[in-house]
Amino acid sequence: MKIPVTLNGNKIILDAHSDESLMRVLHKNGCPSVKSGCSSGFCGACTILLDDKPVASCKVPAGIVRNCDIVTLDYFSKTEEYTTIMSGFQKAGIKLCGYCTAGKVFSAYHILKMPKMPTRQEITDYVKALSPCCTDLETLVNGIIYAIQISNRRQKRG
Amino acid sequence: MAVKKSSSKNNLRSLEATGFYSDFQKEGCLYAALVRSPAPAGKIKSISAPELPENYFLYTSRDIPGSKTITANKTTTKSFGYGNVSYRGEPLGIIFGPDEETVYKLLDTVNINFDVENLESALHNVINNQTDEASNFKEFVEQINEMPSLDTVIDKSHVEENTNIEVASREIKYGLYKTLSVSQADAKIFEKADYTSTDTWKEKLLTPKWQETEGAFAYTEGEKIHVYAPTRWTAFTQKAVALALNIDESFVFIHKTKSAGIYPSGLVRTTQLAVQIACASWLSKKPVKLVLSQFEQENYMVPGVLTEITYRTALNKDGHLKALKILIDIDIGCTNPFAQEITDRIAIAATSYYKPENLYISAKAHTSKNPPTSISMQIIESQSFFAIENEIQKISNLSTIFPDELRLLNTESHRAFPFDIPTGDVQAVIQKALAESDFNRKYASFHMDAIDRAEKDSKPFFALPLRGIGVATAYIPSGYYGQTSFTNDAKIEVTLSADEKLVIHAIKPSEVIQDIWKSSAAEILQIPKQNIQINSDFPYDELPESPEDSYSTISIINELVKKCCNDIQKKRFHQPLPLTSKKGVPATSKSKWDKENFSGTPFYTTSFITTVVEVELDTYTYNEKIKGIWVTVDCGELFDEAAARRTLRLEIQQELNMLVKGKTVPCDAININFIQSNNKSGQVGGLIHNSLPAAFSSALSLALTTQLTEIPCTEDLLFKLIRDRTKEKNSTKKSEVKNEANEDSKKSDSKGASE
Repeated sequence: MKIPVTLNGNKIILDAHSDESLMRVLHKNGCPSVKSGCSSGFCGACTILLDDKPVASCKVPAGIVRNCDIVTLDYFSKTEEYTTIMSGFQKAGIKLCGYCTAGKVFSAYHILKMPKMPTRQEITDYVKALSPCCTDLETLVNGIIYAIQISNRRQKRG
Repeated sequence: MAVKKSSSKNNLRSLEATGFYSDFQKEGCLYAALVRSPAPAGKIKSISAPELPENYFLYTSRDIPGSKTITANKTTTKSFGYGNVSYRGEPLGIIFGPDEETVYKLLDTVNINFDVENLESALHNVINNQTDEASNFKEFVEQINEMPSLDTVIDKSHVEENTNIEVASREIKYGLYKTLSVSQADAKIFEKADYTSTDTWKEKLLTPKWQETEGAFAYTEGEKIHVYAPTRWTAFTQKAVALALNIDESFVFIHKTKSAGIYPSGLVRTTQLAVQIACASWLSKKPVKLVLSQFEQENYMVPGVLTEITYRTALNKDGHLKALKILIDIDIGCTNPFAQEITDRIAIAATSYYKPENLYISAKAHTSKNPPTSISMQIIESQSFFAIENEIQKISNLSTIFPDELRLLNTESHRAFPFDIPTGDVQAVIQKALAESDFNRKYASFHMDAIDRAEKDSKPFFALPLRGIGVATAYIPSGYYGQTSFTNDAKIEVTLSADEKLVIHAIKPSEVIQDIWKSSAAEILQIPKQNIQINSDFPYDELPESPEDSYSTISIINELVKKCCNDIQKKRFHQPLPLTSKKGVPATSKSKWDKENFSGTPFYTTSFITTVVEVELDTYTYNEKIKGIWVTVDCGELFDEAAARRTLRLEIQQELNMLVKGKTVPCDAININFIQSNNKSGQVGGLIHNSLPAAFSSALSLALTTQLTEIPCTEDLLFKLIRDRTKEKNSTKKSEVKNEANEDSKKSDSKGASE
């Protein structure tokens, strides 16, 4: 099946079975940041931005992404938002293992985009299901809060 | 000779993990899946795939150009199974091609032919056991139903006669067990003991679902083969691949990749996968990638070994342990090259740091029809700690001596006790954790509540949430001196060049440890941190022979880095640069352990932990909730407290996923404290895994007023425990009533007789 999509800013046609998981298709199409984790949509290793919303690509059949805008961490890591998030993570002492990075970064991105400043509890509730492979929950929440601070400061300066 | 040396020095291998194996890709990459045995036993005659399309391949052991087996520590593992099958799911071949989905579909079309004679003989046996002819369909059905099961008639002559072979053992005797026979000592000790207890404990390690599954990627480049795998034993993997392909080791390039697992394996099983994928790539001359499925990871790459530890404990009224009799049964699966080391380490940890008056340990490791197991240095002792800490808690409940008192009373050293564990300030660590958690008050209160509930026989499942609190202590050792598999040859080389650049030559550790090394070196040599580099390149024929866990015990290497830097600093202003310093573990440290008598100080150092867990169990939903976890750690000098705190918090979070099957136990609060004793600095990683499960099960046992003997916990297990407890209670009640009735009737009888 031919599936036209915008992948990381480029209009391409994916060649995949309609019921194949988007995670596998993207990984095969040169996006190593899309990892295979729990395959149940919880751990976050396969997270991508599908029309600017973080989704677990292991649970998305390739057939339904026709004409969608897909952004993977490979591309997102070149953006300013990524730099802001990583600065916040670094400040909190987070050293990501590299396997779970997409889930953690895209969750932080989603929180950063929220119209109102979330509470600590709200952030905790949002990220608590992510895999605890390299970063504990409290440190991750701290990292996201630092990222929000950095983002706000940059916006004020801008 | 000189030419060979120079080529070896230029033919370097990096032991720095770069990326994940699943990320590496090459044009025209083929995807592989393993053909596994559908039966646990049987003799394989042939394996074929008649419907294999073009560009799809199937290779079995017959196709391996070189050695068909991998040998580690005198234990042989087949690269692909042949002859008799060792266990259900044993890899018998590899099938690969350009489309992953098609490869998985083709797996179903593979014909695995077992020795037909056996099947024929089995059918003959069934027929021979059939005497009457069926006259009608009903009779025929009845006869079929009455036919003996295949298990009883099948010809098992081809099956290995005994799969339960003892491969390692360790017996330790102390006190009366040394002078008397075991039965005589038992009789003398247990008959006169004030309190005795017997129980069997099991802790099964779960595989987290979010980690990268095992696998490998390989491609050829002329005469060379490149293999990407999360190995932690590069020298061994390199050798095994070279032997399997029948090529020189200088043509084998093993690229170590990262491992996202919490129980990293990376030893023989990873090497086996590397050999399998290397053969596939070598024979097809194409890049091939193998990624195990979650099912394969959970069933065939299980972490650790299966252990059952039975304790018989005798306690005096004053709280001193009169005896510990420990029987350890270790199921290593089909093979495990580290069986002796695992047996020894589990046996040593089975007494923890307690020193009973009399001690008997019998540990036996045996093979089985389960998949092969491996060793993970960080979690090797956890099953022992789970068992001993629960046993101590149980005997504490029986004797009504507070758990902290009981523990401290039994740390006092006896003359010639076999083990001297270098723990730091045990008393301070226990008391700090107990004070922080208000343990004694809560314990007394929950204990009284539990007794009250048991006496009133209130229905536990129709009551308010049940609460319990448990404590567990444990250590994590660094640098085991009794290694049977390898020599503890940790060595390090540090060079300061003329431009004040420092190079530490060692296997690259985690970023936190790298930072600690750099900080220590920068402080000693007064140079900027940016000037320090860690070089993990080794000539291909000089790779460390031992697996990384045993080679680079972090706390030992930390000390060696410091020693090297101090050495350079002393010479720095007297001798011209560059200066190189090489250090290894001093021989005096090793001599503290008597390998022959299996006694002395077995470890270089340890970190010590006390963990307190307060649990609440909802009696309607069976949902456990942890109200708080209090942790106190003594790991000697702390290099980076924030990092240590993060590590402990992360491990707690990981452990909360493993306590109850299929659930994450929520936790309200985590409190972490450090105590810095004069003990040598040790690692914190693994401490939580050694202590939290025991503290959790002790707390849950107190809440349920019954004994939880295994982890992970399940709802079924909780229900069974409560049901059995209620049954026991009812049967005791009935027998009491019966006795009373008998006594009453006897009394009335005697009254009547006297009248």
